[in-house]
Amino acid sequence: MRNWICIGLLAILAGGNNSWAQTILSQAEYQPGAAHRCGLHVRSEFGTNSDAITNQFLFGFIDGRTVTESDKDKIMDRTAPLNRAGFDINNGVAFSWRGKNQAVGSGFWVSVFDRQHLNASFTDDMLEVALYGNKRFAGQEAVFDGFSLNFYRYQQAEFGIARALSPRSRVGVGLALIKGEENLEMESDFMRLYTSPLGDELRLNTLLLVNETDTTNKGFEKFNGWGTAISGFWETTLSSPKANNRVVLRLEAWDIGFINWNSNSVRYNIDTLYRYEGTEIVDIFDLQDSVFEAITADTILDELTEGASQGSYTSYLPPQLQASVRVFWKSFELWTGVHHRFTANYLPYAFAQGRYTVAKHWKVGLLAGAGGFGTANLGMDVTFESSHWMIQGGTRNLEGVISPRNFGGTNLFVQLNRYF
Amino acid sequence: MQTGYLNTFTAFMKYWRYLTVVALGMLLAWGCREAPEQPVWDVDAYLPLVTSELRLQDALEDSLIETANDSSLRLVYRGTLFSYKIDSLFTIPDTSTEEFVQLPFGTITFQPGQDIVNDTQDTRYDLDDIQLQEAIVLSGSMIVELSSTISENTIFTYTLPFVTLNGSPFTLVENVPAGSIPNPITLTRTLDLTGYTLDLRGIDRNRFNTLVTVYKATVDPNGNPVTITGGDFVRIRNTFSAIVPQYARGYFGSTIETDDSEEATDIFNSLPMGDLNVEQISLDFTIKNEAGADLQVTINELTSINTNQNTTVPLSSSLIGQQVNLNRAQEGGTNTPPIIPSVYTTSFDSSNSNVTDFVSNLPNRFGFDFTYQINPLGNVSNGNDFIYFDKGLDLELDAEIPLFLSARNLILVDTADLDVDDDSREDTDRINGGRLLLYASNHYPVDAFVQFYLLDEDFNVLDSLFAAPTFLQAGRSDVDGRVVAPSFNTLPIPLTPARINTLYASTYTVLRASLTTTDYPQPVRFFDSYFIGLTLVGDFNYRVDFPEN
Repeated sequence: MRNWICIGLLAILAGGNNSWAQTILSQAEYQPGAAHRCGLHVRSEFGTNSDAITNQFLFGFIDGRTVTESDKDKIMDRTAPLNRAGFDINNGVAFSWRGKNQAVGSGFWVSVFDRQHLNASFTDDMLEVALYGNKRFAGQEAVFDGFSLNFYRYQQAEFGIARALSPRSRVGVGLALIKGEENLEMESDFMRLYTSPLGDELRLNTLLLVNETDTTNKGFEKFNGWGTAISGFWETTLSSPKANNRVVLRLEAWDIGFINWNSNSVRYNIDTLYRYEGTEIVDIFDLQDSVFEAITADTILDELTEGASQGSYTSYLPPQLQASVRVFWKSFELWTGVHHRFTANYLPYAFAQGRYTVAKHWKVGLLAGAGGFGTANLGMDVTFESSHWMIQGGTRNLEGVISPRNFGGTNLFVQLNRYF
Repeated sequence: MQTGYLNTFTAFMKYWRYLTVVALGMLLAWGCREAPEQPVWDVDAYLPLVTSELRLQDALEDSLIETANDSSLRLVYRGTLFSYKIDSLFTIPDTSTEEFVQLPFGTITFQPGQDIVNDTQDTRYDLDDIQLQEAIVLSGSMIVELSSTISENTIFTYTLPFVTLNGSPFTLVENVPAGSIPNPITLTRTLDLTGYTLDLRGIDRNRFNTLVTVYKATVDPNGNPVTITGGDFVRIRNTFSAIVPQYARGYFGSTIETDDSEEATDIFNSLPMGDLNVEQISLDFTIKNEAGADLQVTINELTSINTNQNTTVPLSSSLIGQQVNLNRAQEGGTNTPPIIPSVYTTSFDSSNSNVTDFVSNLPNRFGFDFTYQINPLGNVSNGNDFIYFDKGLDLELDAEIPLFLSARNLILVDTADLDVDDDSREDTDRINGGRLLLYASNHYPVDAFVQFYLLDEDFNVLDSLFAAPTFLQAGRSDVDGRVVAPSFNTLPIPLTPARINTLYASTYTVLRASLTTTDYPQPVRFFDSYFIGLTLVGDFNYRVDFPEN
């Protein structure tokens, strides 16, 4: 009965004292402490990063600025033969509760999240063509091998159970049902663009596989597929729970699942050497619109995508794993670990975070990390924490704010926990 | 617990006011900002836009150009230069005839069913010395006007017994209501004569140009006896209107006609103006008689007229001034109409005429002055001349003009509509500048200076694409004068936003090319493998942004 009362009090905010991990998705943070039976969790994050594209370029999407030659040069200075980029947007609410006879650390949770994820890999040549144009490749082949782009947007509802295995360890598992909204997958192991020395011929030689959901059925409320995913965690305290320097080892996994996109989806299997020498006209006096229409890429795309087939397909979500160790002192905690996202053009991400209690109820955290979609990152967060509340906001990419011309990460997160 | 809550709330509110100010400030800034824009940057793009192959063959109608066995090209023209339709000489004029019956004095009483008038007439039409015996009407009508002052219903019957359709004579029966001398009753009927055969030989079938008509006016058999007094009348008036014969037969006389006229021709429209010498020309002139009457034709003058250059070249040959006798055409055969024309053909080349100059003038009109006489030997057919509609005398030309020529500063001017849709502006507005590169590979043995002009709707020149007429070098020829390797030319066209705007404002483009054959004045032969390959490449500095959606 108490559980149902808790659910009915979703709108009422109360206190809590948990922290959180390198993603707001961590279910291990949901469980109420000893003083409470249930909790309401509101979480929002936006993050994007790249080891090549800088924030200076990215901020153009906000203020419409012109990207200068110097900005482009800075981007190219950061490039490697193969580069990464990605972003995530996660917004959701969760409710957790502990049964009357359940131990601390045990309980249940339900959550609803709207999620977007994009990851991409691209060569330096591809970026150079995009930023500078193909003229500098006249007489050469621009290599786009290894290009991939994956975008998912979906909504998930998850139910999970956490169970204390002993006073020192606990385990949790969640099962999510997914409503697929939108997907685009592009994968090419071989893609070359040749520009003739005089510019009179473009040759695109590619093996490209594209899956795309119904482009006419876009929007939050649209349904284009269904799926499921599981997540879970295991946590154990390595030292005495009563010791001042408690050490906690945690293993977490998210997004082990799939989405089956419906039969309105389209697949392009492009294996072609496409040669483009301009729009062919019989009479030069038919120039007229043909010249200007040729500037657009629509006709090229139309020809490239001639062999489209319609049908359902299945996407496997990029699963995430994280192993971390947290050490708690009286006014300070240190958290270090490794996070990885498989099949997502992602490098293993190593991080270390310290959080210090600067005043009653207030903590300030600093973060350093390396890997992921970017290179190295610095972060900071501020936490307000009382017996019933935990409000936290911060960024994991201070470096992108401080020096946007040299770094590429942008991240903001906010979370609010109310325990009662 | 309550104290704990209070402490927490107090601590939170202590800082909340600052957070509130910051949050409100951020919200205000976000709300007041302009709509999100997109980052833009500039790229240097090499973009092939258009490819085309310009061939002389494509500029001409297929029927005007042929490929010889050695794959050289030649202009051919087979068609009627001039037609003189002599059927117009034998039409029936719009003439009227009238039957008028009036009682001058006294009274006469007519019983129901009794004829007031019943008369048959031969009406002869004046066609000068033409003696038509038969005609079939292609189109035309007869207007019949019936008038009566008789004070009882009168039945008018108007019959043309020798004007028949499918064997039935033409007959009109009308009931004219009772009238009076002060108020005569008049009915007018227009009757279509299409398809009727007119026998113009009169009642005794031995005359010509004569039409038989039968008039009858009868008191209504169901009416009352009627008394006609002095001044009463009945009148039947008929008028032939716009009679066009499909066919006419008779003796067409022996008239002599002289005519001069000009006829436009498009055979040389695609060839440029200037100093052009065309070699090895062969022209066949054919005079064709499609009339069933002997003709004697004399072409007094045949002139090549170029109104663009205001030049005229009369044909000098044995045909000019020569009397050409053409036998009458025969009826029969499988043509429609069934005519077997008689023809006279004569050939010219540079050995027996000035045909080279005649053609090199590139006429857009031909001038004719000719005389012809019908039946120069009189009525030798015994009245059996015939003519079908739209037939007569044709002058036909069968020309073969090898493209074996020399030219110097030949001016080619061609105007074309230019309608650049504003829908493409979104793309072209992104062009910061640059140039269009026109790559031309010239396989023709012709050097050219080329310029394109942009014109407004009033044909005012707005801009030219090249800063100056641009040189397009001829292909390289072997010792036989045959091009073995094309020349490659790059023609840059500066492109600025202002010029792009001019493109949109233009209504027409004009190509002006000055052409000179290699090794002028040595003639060069044109082969079907020659072409000018054109590739238009955009060398743009192009602004890239992301589409808003």
